Amino acid sequence: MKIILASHGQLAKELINSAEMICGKQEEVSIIEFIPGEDLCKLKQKFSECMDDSAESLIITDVFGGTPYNVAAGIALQNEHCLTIAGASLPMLLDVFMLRCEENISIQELANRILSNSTQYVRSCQELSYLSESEEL
Amino acid sequence: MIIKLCRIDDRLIHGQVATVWAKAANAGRIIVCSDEVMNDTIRKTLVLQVAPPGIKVNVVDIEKAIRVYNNPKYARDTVFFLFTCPQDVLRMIEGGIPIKSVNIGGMSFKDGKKQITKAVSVDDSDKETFRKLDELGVELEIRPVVNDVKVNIMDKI
Repeated sequence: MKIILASHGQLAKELINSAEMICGKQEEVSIIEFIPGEDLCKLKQKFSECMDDSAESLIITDVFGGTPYNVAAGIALQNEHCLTIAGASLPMLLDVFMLRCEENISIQELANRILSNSTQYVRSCQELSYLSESEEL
Repeated sequence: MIIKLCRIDDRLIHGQVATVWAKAANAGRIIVCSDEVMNDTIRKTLVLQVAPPGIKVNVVDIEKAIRVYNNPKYARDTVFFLFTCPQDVLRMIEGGIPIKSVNIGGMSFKDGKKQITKAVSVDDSDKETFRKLDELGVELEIRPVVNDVKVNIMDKI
């Protein structure tokens, strides 16, 4: 399963670099950077260059409703092998990379798991500080 | 207890451990075995807080770790032992725990230590301990992330 990470500016590249610090080198990852001054045409072209119509692709974009998302959503709505989600973050990306390793996981199942796990990506230290040992040994 | 993984990492549970190693180990429980962490409230709280989902985490001193390992109640439990230093691994083995292989993830640089890889620094006491572990036939592999190539620490010290 291919992962395409699309962002405003260089966030996508650096998110991948950071994720690889934690879970090692990743295969089948592409990045798309939306650079100031680029138009929609150019951005669409970047997407089509890294899409492979026959392979399953998950496009992850930074901001819901931003240009990378809007272009990606247009592609995903016309391509049954492709899904788009928004809200890229390091915890999300780690989750994606780990879930992708699971045997026979479909792209739809992966996207569903990401959505349901997403509330766990933001945590508060104070809220958790009441926690004690899982279970005394 | 069934030992799935032993790792030395003085940052304990951090990104690599929480996401990659916990999954690779596939153990029901992570036990941090360290007298030092056991007596350090802040470190202990943090470790418990960042427990990966679905995995129990405990912090115990070495003496208790040995007792727990031998407790028939946990005979079928799978465990990932996490240490801060090789000396504690040796104490566990001398206490009768059959540790066959140790993954060395991170030992941070401090005054008096010599850096041998990006993530691992050792002093004379560490070297001496690794030699003893090696003589006992324990595999000692440096590997920050699962997919990295195993490097035998004995080739580096």
